[in-house]
Amino acid sequence: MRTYVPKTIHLVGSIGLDTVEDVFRTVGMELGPYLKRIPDGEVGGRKLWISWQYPLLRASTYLRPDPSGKVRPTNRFALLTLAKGVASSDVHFGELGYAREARASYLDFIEAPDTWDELVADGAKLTKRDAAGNVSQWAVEIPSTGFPYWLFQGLTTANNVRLMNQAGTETYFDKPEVIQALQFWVDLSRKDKIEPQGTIEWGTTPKDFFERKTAIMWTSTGNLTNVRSNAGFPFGVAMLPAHQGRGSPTGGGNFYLFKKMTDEERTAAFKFVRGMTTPERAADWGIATGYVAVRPDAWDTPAMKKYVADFPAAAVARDQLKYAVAELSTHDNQRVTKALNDGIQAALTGTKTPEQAMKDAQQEAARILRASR
Amino acid sequence: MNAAAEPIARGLAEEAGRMPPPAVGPVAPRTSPTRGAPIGLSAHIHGWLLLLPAAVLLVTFTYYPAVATIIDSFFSTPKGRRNAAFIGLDNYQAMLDDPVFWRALGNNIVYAASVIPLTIALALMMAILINGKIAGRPFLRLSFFTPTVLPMIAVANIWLFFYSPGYGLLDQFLGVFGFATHNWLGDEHTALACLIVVAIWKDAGFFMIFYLAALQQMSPQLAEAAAIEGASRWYFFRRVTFPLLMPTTLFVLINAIINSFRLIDHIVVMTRGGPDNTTALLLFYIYEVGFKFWDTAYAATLTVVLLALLAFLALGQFLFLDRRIHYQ
Amino acid sequence: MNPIRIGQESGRANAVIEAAGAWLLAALWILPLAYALWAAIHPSAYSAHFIPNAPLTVQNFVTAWNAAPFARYFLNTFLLVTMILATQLVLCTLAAYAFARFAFFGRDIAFIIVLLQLMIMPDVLIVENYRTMSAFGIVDTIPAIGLPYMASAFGIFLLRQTFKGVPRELDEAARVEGAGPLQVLLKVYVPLAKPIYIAYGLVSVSYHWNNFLWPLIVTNSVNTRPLTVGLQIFASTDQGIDWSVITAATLMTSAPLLIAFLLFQQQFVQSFMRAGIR
Repeated sequence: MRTYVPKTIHLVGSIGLDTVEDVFRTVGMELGPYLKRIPDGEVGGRKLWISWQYPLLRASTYLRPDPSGKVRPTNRFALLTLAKGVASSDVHFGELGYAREARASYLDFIEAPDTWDELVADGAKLTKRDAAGNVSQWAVEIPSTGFPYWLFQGLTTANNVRLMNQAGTETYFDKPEVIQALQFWVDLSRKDKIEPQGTIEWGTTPKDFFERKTAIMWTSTGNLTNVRSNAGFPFGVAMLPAHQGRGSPTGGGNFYLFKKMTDEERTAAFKFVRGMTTPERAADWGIATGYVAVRPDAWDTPAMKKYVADFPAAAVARDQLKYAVAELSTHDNQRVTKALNDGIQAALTGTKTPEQAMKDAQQEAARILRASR
Repeated sequence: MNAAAEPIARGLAEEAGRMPPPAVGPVAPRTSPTRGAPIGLSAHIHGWLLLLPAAVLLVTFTYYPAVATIIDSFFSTPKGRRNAAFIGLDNYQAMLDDPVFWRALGNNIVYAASVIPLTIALALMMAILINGKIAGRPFLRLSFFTPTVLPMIAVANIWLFFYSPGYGLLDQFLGVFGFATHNWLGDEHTALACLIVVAIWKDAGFFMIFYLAALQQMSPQLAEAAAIEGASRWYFFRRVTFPLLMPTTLFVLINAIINSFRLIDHIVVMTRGGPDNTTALLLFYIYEVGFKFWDTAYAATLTVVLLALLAFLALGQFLFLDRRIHYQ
Repeated sequence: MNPIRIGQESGRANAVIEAAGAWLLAALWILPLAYALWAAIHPSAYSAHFIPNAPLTVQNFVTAWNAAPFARYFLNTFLLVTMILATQLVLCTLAAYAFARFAFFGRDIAFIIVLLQLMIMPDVLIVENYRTMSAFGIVDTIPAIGLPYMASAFGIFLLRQTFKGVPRELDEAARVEGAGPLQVLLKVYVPLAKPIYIAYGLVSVSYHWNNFLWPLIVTNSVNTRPLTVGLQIFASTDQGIDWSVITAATLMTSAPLLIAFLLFQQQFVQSFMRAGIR
């Protein structure tokens, strides 16, 4: 007996399942690479084909049950006719949900916003509000507790400005581009209303993402494996949106070898550092945690190549590295970053304007750096 | 260790001869302090020898550091190649100019002023409830006292989960009543209040136990007498119970004051002082300055302020409240 | 002993309302802990959703146990509280005995100075004490965590109060039989103060098991870190918080005290009461 192997499949009728995602998943799993065409579906309440229309008609103020009392024999629905004093040209039904749902479902598969403007525009569509106006899903969460300065660098680098000089003795927090970047961040929650107000807790942002409280989250590559294991739904990874330029801060930690070490300690420390930074170890680390591997040749190891082939999202951060800048690092670093962190948080909570916050932060940072010279 | 002020107050009063010592175990007849005990030179030597180990540790880890802190506050922080240099009151000037210091101080005062009365009031109320004839008292007592045996770190992690916007229990609970989700710990108006709630939750049960003990020691004849006189419960509470509980209240008050300055574990877990220092407390700021910025001289300066504050409060208690205590 | 209720004219209704109020408060009070328990015994996905028949699991506890050296942390904590309690008992007994029974030069002033420690807690002097530990070269050792607390003014005070209440006759009787001062201490005073020792012991263990800030500062490595610090490092937020695992770890580290408390509720409560009112 011959089995028939299709070349292509076109679906012409709707697939009646609860959500768009279910439809695509089911159809994708069953028909996989053969599927070439699928119509816009009717999902959720509309999956019962035309049967869903009756309650809508019944509820309309323009129609009333026919006085003859006749019912449709098949489903015993009462026949309807125009209400008293209503002309047929008066009847309209408002939004039935086809367009809205189609748009929303389309968004499930769109590309990530690539510029600040796209972020704001997409954000308006991604922010879901319930009937009372409460937000059930935010478009984006950029966490701001703990070390807000770090993700802030994602915004400032995209605005083509540096926060410090190479020597780490000067900071530039009050440059207009920095203030603009902060203003953009503040506007996301206050003007565009696509991000929660106030400071957003770093540690709970991934969980927010899993719980679909936010459509987009900005986070460390260190969360990649966490998200991959725990999200429970397909997700994508994209570079941070660009503006005047593109960029992100690097992260991670450093190994330090102190001058005052015994020879034994020095040898042991060096051995440790070398062992930790071999390409194989770097690849290992990157795969296990999601952190972007620290050396280019780590990406050429067989383990890493296989990992990236299975999971292309892992390569995005690597590709972004060519736009990356050094993490904020100055003399008396803790104090200076605290000044900046406080300023960012003040702006986000609305206690200070971005301009005032950054001016104060710059003043404080300058004072600290002056004292440490 | 936590303080025991009521016994201290009693002890001191006893020393001053104002009242007889409390009956403890079999009653001891009043005797001269040295009758039957070594007197003379051997008393002095033995006394000091017995005290020596404790004294050495106390001096090394309490008195010397306290004095050293004060001294260090007049010097600059040694950094790398630079040694500490005498700079007089410069650190204090910097402190007065530091907005974060004022924030931390203000926060601590608000925090203490909120936590202390609320915790004590709740503890008292719980003790009275449990002391009554309610069914299931062991469960009530268990429920109120359990937070006390948990480390504050554990408590803070649980409450961090609790306060999470959206799916945290608090928002879910409020959501049932139609309230919108709220960023409790990220909003500068609610963050400190949230920490205050955590502190109250942790300590109320602890203080409740002391009130329970005191209530159970109260003579039932008092209640009988009041019933005969036709006194209302509130009147009885206000005029009899509460004054008699004063020694316990003093003890609990000292504990509460100390905890409101000492316990900052929940800040480390939940807000790290943010947003923008709205939940920074003095000891937390000292920890940041001393161990994150390594500015030890400035940390010493801040510590001096904290010590002064604690000393002031201790003095205030003894002088002011001691007069109003009834002893049975 | 049931205290008599006054003014029970409005009687039963009041009593019922009061009982209901008490129960409601107790339920609210235990809620956070119950919530933590829920999250710990269900998989991550259900940690925030209260579906009654969600699957149970112990995987969170296993993950937590394996993710950080909790066994070592337990050992460290156990060693720490034992060490602190043992030295506290010895030192405070000796000092309290001195204060109670020996008229030595400067005794009263010394006692007042000791009492000062109640306000000048080691917790507040973290910067200087760290420097001292550094100077002695014992940073990152378990004794370093315990040393500032070993001479406890609270303990001295409690024991002094207790010893003062011991009848002189017993003291004299022992002396008549030729006992030296230390033997009198061991044979007469210590046995009589046993309830106080137990009370103090429970309070001390409880306090030091849960202490966080000073151990955080003074320890750097796994070999010295107690549970509280270990838990905090484990729960720190850089890679995102998995509530189920963290609540599991939290419950695990609180478990010993919690279980001890549940089993010995009466004694616990009695001890805390005794420690306070004497």
